Amino acid sequence: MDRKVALEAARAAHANPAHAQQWAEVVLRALRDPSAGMTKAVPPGYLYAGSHNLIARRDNFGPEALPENAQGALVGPIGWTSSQPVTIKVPFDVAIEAVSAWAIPIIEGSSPDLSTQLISSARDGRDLFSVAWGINGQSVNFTTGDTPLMIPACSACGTRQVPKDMYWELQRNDVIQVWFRNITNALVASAFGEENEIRLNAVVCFRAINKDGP
Amino acid sequence: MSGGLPTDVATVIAMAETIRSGDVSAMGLTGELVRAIERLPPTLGEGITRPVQQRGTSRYYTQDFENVAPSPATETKNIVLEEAGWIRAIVSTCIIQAVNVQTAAAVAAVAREYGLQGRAFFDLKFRLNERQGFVYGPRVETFGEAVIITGTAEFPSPMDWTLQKEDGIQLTIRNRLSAIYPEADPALTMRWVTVTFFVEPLEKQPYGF
Repeated sequence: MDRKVALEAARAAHANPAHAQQWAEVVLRALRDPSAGMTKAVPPGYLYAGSHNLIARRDNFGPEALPENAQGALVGPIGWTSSQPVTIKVPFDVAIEAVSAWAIPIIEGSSPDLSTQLISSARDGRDLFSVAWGINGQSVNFTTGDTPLMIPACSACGTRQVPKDMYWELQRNDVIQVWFRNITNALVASAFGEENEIRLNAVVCFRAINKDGP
Repeated sequence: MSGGLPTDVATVIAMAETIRSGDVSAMGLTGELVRAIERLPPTLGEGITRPVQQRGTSRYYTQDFENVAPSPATETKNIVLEEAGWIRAIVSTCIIQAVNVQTAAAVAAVAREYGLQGRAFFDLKFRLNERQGFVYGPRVETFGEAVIITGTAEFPSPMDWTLQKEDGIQLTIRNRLSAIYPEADPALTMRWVTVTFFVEPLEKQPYGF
């Protein structure tokens, strides 16, 4: 059953009784369509792989200046970024049911100070970066009600083991934009500038169900 | 049947077949056909989300506080709902800034033990439309520790509020660092606090969000 098509056709029939018969034919095809909405039972012996992971990743990225850092740079509040979003082009109609995130500081040098990797107080390093996302360039769905903003990934995304549930229905070729901001310099005052900055590898993963039938 | 309308696909198909047959008396059924299709139960695929939840409708209403002053100072900010919404849960994060990596790692170890995401380091209370408190002590409204009131994204603290468009939530926070470290190290500052509500819009969103 393809409810969307059936509904539009039924409305057209109601609006234009002279063509109601033709529109009723469209309604019937949509209601009987077995693939839309996955109403068809999975055939015996056919394993349908409906679960997908849509990944947005930023590797080796450093922090941005905070408003009152020692260098005197003034970029903006922590809740926003000047960097470009990472994009995901949705490959087919999907229902996104959950999101998770993960990050790790990069440690360079032959005898590194591993305590850098212990500055996170959230599971999977999710408090080391903040995130926001939008769809098709329209908007971000993190807001105060007046102003969009980014929030720490540990408030927005779950972990690999316990993803945060979501309810999105996207169509093929929709574009998800994910903004990342490294906020390690909010945790460690001295971690800014090329010498001292803590760079991150970070990833955001949307768990998606393919809504196209097998 | 619900309100006299069919709730199974087979009956709706029969109704559409009647209209297709061209029977003049069936032409009056087109309005009922529209309503019947709207009321059909979700199919397996649709059942993954409720029909009203389309596009990117899981929303995060948030306020953030930067450079929170030490107690007893408090800070209040508002969240205004852009549309009617069902508030399902609350989460928070507190970023404590330390002077160096070693101190930051020690603070993180404390946070991991006593409240992930720094939630042990601040208090919180909230009101609805500036009228009513929702965090009470023995007799009056009070602050509650964020680690008790709020959760993390993977384990959010459940809520169940149904709010109208332009309803406002007033969040007030208080820095607890001096209560935990009475000989407060000025090198520790409450750099960033975010309090976030997980909201599902209750109205269908025709244009994306």
